[in-house]
Amino acid sequence: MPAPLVDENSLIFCFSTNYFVVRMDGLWRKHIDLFLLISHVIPLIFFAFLFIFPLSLLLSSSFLYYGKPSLYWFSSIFSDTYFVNFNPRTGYLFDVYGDTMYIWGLDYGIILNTLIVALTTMILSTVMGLISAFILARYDFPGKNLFRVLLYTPMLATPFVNAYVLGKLFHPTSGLINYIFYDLLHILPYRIDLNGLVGISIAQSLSYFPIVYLNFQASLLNIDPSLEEQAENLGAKGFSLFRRVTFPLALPGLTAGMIITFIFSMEDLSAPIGFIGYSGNPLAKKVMSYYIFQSFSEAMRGVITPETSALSVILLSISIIGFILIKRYVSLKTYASLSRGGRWNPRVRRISGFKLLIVYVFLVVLVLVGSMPQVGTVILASTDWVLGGVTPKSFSLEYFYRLLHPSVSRAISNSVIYSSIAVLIAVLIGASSAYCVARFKGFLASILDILSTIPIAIPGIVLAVGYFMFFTSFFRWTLLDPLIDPAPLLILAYSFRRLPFAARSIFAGLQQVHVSLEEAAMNLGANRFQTLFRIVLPLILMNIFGGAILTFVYCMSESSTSVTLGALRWDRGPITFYINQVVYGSIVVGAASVGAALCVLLMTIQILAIIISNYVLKQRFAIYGF
Amino acid sequence: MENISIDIIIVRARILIALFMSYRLNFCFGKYLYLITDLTFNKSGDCNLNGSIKYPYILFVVIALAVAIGGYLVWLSFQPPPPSPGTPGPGGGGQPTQPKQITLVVISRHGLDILGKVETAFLSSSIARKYNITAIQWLTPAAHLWVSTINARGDIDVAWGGGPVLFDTLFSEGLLKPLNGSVLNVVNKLPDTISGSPAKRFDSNGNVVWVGAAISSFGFTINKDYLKTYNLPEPDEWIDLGNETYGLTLPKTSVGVANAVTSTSNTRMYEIIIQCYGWVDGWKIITLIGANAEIYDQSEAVRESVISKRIGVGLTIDFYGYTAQIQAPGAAYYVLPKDGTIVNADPIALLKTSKNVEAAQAFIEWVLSPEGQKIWLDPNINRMPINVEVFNTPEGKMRQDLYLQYNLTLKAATIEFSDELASSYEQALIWFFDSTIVKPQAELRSAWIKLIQAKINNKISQEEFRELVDILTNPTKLTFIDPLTNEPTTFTMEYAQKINPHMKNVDFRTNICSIWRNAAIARYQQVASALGG
Repeated sequence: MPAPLVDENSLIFCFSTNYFVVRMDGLWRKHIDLFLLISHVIPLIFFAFLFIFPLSLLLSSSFLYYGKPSLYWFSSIFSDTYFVNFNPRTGYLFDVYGDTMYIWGLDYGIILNTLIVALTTMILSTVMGLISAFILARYDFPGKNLFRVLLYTPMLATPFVNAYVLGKLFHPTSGLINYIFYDLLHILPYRIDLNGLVGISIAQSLSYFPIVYLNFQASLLNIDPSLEEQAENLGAKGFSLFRRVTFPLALPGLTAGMIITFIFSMEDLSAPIGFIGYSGNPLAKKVMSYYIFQSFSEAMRGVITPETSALSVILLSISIIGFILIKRYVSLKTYASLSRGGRWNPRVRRISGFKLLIVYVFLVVLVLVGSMPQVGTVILASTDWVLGGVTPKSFSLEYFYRLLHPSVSRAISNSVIYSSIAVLIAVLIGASSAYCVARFKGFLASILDILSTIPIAIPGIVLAVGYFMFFTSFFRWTLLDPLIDPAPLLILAYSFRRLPFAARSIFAGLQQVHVSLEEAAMNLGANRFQTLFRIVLPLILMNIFGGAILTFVYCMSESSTSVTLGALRWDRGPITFYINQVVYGSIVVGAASVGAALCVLLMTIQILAIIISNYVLKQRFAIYGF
Repeated sequence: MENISIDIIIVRARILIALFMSYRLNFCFGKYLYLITDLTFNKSGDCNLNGSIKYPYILFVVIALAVAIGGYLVWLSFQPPPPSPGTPGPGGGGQPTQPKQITLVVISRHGLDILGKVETAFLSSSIARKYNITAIQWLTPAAHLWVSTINARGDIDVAWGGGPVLFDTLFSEGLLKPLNGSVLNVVNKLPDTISGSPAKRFDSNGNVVWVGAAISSFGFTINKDYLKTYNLPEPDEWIDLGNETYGLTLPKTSVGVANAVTSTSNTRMYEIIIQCYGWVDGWKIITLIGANAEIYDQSEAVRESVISKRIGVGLTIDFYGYTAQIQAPGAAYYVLPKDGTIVNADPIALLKTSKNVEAAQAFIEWVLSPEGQKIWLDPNINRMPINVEVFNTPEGKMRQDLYLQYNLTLKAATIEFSDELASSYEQALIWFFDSTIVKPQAELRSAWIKLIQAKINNKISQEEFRELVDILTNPTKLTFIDPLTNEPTTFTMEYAQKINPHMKNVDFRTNICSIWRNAAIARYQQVASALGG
C-alpha cells in the first residue's frame, strides 16, 4: 500500500508535536512525514511573526473601550453617517459650474464608498483585461507581440511621483488632457475635473487591468488542449467554443485576478494620495484606506486610535469574507487536467480590414490611457515640464545627471538586494503553503490559504507601524530590531507583503495539475521529494517564475514599509525611500523631476527583470510573453 | 559583536549550501532524504540525472547561486562602510589610518539635499579632521519616533532640525545635554532671541540646551498669474484668505492649506492666527479659510500647487516661498502677513546619549559657524541663517536677495506670541481643526458656496450674511455634549485648555472627534437648509 497519498478523501488533520495523524482506510494512524511537517510549520511560523503577532498587538485596541472589552467602536462606526450613509449629502456627478464639469462621485460614507469604488474598479478592469486577453489569444495581427509587452506598462510602479503626474495630466486648468481636448481641440464642451471617488476608481482600473489580463492569460495557457479539440470535434467553434469550453476552464485564473483587483482597490493608497496630493480633494479622502493611512501617519504620536483599529479590522474582514466566498466558488469550479503534455494551442485567426482597425483602436487607446502615469513620468524626468507650463517646452537630461550620486547607487543596490532575498523567501514560503493548500486540504492548510493571500489586503502603513511596535519591543537588540538595522526586517516585510503574488501564482499552477500525476509517481516508487522536484515543479515552473517576477517587481516598488522603516537608517534606505525623500523631503528646484528620473530608473529595473526572465525561459515559454 | 555572529551564520549557510549542492551533484540527495522522510515506501535507489527533466536541477542551481550571492551581498552590506564614501578622503587620502576614527550619529528632520551637502562639506572641513570624524550616519525617523529612537539606540550624538516644539519635547524628556567647551564661543555670539522668539533654550542653571541653527518665518506664497487670470486681489493679511472673494471660484479652489494633523508648520500658522485675532475671531477666520481652501496633507503639496498655478495663494513657511520664487519667477511671491506673524528658530542640540561629546560639539560648532551656515544659502535650499556673518563671506555676498529677505524677516510685523499659550491648547486645536474642517469639508464647502451665491444674488443682506457666517464658523456657537461631564458645552479656549491633556487618551480623543464632526456637519447643513435646499 503506497500510502500517504494525498487527496481530499484521505488525509491529515490534526497535528500534534512531531507527527501528523493521518486518516487512512478508515483508521487514524500516526505518520511522521518530515515534508508535511516542514511545509506546514515553516509558513505558519512565518505568518505568526510577520502577521498575527504584530497585527494583534496593533488591532487589539479596537475591542477595548476605556480598557474594557467592548464592541463600542464597531457600533459607533456603523451608526455614524460619516462611515455609512445611504443618502449622499455631497458630491458632484456631472455637475457643471462655470466652464468646468465636476465628476467626483457621490458620498455614501467611507465604508460604502470604498466598496463601491472597489466594485467599479473590479468590473472595469475585468472588462478591459478580458477583452484584451481575448483579442490577443484569438486573433493574429501585425504588432501583436508589441501590444503583449505594452500591456504590462500600467503595472510599472511610479511611487510618489504619481500625484505629480496625475495633477499635470488631469487638472482642469493646468492639466495636459484638458489643455489638449478643451483649449486646443475644442472637443470637450467643458473642462473636465475628474477627481474624488470616480477619479480613484478610473485610475485604479487603468493600473489594475493587466492583473486580470495576466491571470486570465496564464490560465488559458494551462488549459489541456485535448478538451478544446474534443469540443471542436463535437462541432463547437468560434465564440461558442470560447464561451462554453475555454472560458469556464480558465475561470479560476480569472476569478483570482478579479479578487486581487477588488482587494487591491480597497487597500490602494496611491490613487487617493495622488488625487489628494495635487488637489486636496475632499471626496478622495473618503475611502477607508486613506482614512486609516492618515490616522497612522499622524504627527508627534505613536498611538493608533481604536476607531482606526476597528476600521482596519472591518477592512480586513471584508477582504477575508470576499476572498473566502469567491474561493468557495472557484474551488467548486476547479478543473484540473490530467494531460499536460501539450500547451494550450489557441485557435488563432488572422484578421484584417475593419475588424483589425477596431482591434488596433481599442488596444492603442487602452495602452495609451493605461500607461499615462508611466509616460508622464518619463516626460517629467526628461523635460522642463516641472517648471510651470502646461506642456513641456524643452528636452533635458539634467535630472538624470543628478542621479550620478553614490547615495543613489546605494539605494538601488539596497533595493535589489532586499527584493532578491525577499523573492526567494516569498517563493519558498509561497510554494510551501500553496502546496499544502492544493494537496493536503486540511484545517491548517485552509488557514495557510487565507494567510498567504491576506497580505495584499493589509494596508502597508498598518503593517509598518505594527512591525515597528512589535519588533522594537519584543526583538530588541536582535538582528530584527529595525532601530539597529532595518534591512533584515525590510526583507521580511517585503517577502510577506508580496507573498500573495508568489503563492497565488503557484497555487493556480498546482490547481491545474491533477493529483493523480503525483500519485502515479509515488506508486512507481518515487518519494515525495522526488515527486515534487521531478513531476510537480516542472509542471508549474512557469507559474513559479511568473510569480517570482511579479513579486520582484512589486518588492522593488514597495513603499509603505520602505519609507517608514527605511528612514530609521540613512544608508539602509531602499530606492522608494530615496524617491520619497527627493520628492517630499527636499526643496530642490525640480525635485519632482529628480523623483521622476528615479522612477524611470525603477521602471527600467522592472522592465529588465521581465526581459531577463523572458530570456532565461525563452526556449520554452517565450511565446507566452513573460 | 553583531558582525561576528552574522559571519558565523553566513559561513554556516555557505557550508550548508555546499553540502547540499554536493549531494545533488552526487545524485544521492534523493536517497538521503528518502531515509529520513518516508518510512513506508519501497526503497528505490534510482535517481538518475540523465532523464529528460532537467529544469528542477537548473532551478536548484539558480536558487542556490542566488542565495549565495544574496548572502554575500548582505554580508557585504553589514560591513562598516569604507571611510567617507563618495568624498575625497580627509587629508587628501593616502594617509595612514589614524587610530580613533569617529562616526557621528545625527538624528535629523532635514531632507536629503541638506544632509548630503552637509556631509560632503563637513567631512572635508578642518574641524572634522581635527576631531578625526570620518563619517556621519544620518537617522531620519518621523518626528513622533524621535524619543523612542534616541532612547532605543543609545548612541545618537546630535539632534538637528524639526522645530522648537520637538526640541522642547526632547528637553522635557531629559534627552538634551547642555553645551560646553569651545562651541560656546560661537553660541555666545548668536542672539538669544530673534524678532521676539527664543533662539536658544536655557536649562534651570542657565546653560544652553538647544540653539537655533536657522530661522524661519510664517506667511503665504501667492501666484500673481493665477490671481490675474481669475481677477482676484493680491492678499497681504491672514484674514484675506477667509474672504468670500476667494470663494467665488468654488468648487474650483484658489487657496491651499495643509492639515494641522500632518503639518506642524501649518499648525503653527493657525496658532498665529488665533493669537493674532483672539480665540473666536481666529477660529472664524480659520474655518472660512478651510471652506475656501484645498486641504492638502503636506505643506510641500501646497507649495507645488502654487508654483504650478493650480491655486492662487497657499500657506507656506518662508523658505518654501523663496524656493517658489525661484521656480516660478515673476509669478510666485512670498508674503509676510501684515496682520502679524512670528519668526522661529530651528534648533540643533547635543544629546545625552552622545558617545563622542567633543566631536559632536565640534559638529554643532561647525554648523553654527559662517562656514557651515553657507549650506542655507544654496539656491536649492534658501533658508535664513542664524549667523548673520555668513553674508560677509564670498558666498554670502552672492546671495544679496536672501540678505534682503533676511532683513525683511527681522522687520516683519511680529506679534507677541506665547508658546505656552499655544501649547496649552495645541492638541485640542489640531483635532478640532481635523474634525470640524477637514473631515466634513464637503458639507462646509457646499454651505459656504450657497452662502456666497445668496450674497452675490442679493438674496440676503450683508447683515444676514454676517449672521449666517457666524452660525457657520463661531466655535462658541457649536454646541455639543462634553463626554467628560455629559453636559452641553461649546468650544471655548478654556474648554480647549481643559481637555488638552485628555487628548492623549485615544478613547477620549476618538469620542470627542466624532462628536465634533457630527455637530459640525449638523450646523453646516443647518446653514445650507436655511438658504433653501
